[in-house]
Amino acid sequence: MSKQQLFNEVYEKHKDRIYRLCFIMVYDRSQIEDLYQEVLINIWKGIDNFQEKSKIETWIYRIVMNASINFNLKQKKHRETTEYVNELKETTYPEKNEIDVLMEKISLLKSADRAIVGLYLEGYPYKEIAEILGMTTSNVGVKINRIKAELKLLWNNKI
Amino acid sequence: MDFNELSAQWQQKKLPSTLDQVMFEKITHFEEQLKKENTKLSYWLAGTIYLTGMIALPFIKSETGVFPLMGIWFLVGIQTMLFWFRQTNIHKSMAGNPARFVEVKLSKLKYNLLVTNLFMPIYMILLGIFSSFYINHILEGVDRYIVISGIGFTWLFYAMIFYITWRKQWKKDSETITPQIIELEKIQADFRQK
Repeated sequence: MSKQQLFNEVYEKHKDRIYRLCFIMVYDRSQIEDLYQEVLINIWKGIDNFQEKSKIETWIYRIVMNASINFNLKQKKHRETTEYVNELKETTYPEKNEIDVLMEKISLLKSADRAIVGLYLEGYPYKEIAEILGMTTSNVGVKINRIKAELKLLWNNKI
Repeated sequence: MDFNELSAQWQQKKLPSTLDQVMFEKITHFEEQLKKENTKLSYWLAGTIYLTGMIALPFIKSETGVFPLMGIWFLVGIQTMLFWFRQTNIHKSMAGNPARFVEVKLSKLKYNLLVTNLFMPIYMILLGIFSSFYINHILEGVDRYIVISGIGFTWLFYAMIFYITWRKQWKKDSETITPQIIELEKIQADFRQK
């Protein structure tokens, strides 16, 4: 199988999931297209060297996480949380569903927490989240409980 | 707020078809795009070697010229190798866990600060020393005061150039690199926190 064929296969299989993770990880949602492209370029660059020591999903989602961290850093006007909260307060959605509200709340979390919650929402078990992020399973468990509590608090406060 | 329900709803979100179309077209040109990037890097490298050679060329004319020429080329060579090494490390760590990636990225950014605050002054001092040898050599037999003034003015000139370039670089670093380091250190702490 050629590199292009392999890449196309990976793309077709994981494109939606990569998009969703990018959506959660990116600071400035208007730049999601650029981040998505950067992730794909990194996958393309590394696909030749992919060794089947880990699952391809783990490998891909690590690239998504790292590319997002890198991408957010490169944005010159890095958004401070307070700035973001103010902006969210002013944003009005004509048809705001539960997912939109959840995404707003997730935007207020720290990078590491967004990465964890992103994978959790994808339905990954703690063990796999730990493997992708290089953390211990118990640490992931503790963090998820803490994030859930934080999100519930934010949800009830309804910024 | 039911997380399971929200998770199920979230997983229904698809890549927008417009973006899918754009990306699909781009994917087919990735190889060409990357080749262009590599060509640009090769030009940059060739340009650096050429310019260093041109700067060092006058030194070759003197008998002592080989020494500064080799010195400058040696330093530029080491710097270039370190640059490539760090770039490769970043590229490799992209598929590693985020904590490892952040660690490598941090080390690269700190190295950039080191270039401004350590390598730049060292290079300028070395250039001054090499130039002093060179001036001393070409003005052999000329009045001692003229030689000393020549060396003095050269140092003054280098000091001015250094101040302007170093200050500019320092400002740039404070605006771009230092905030990134602070942010990365926070991210690293978050990933390590238990």
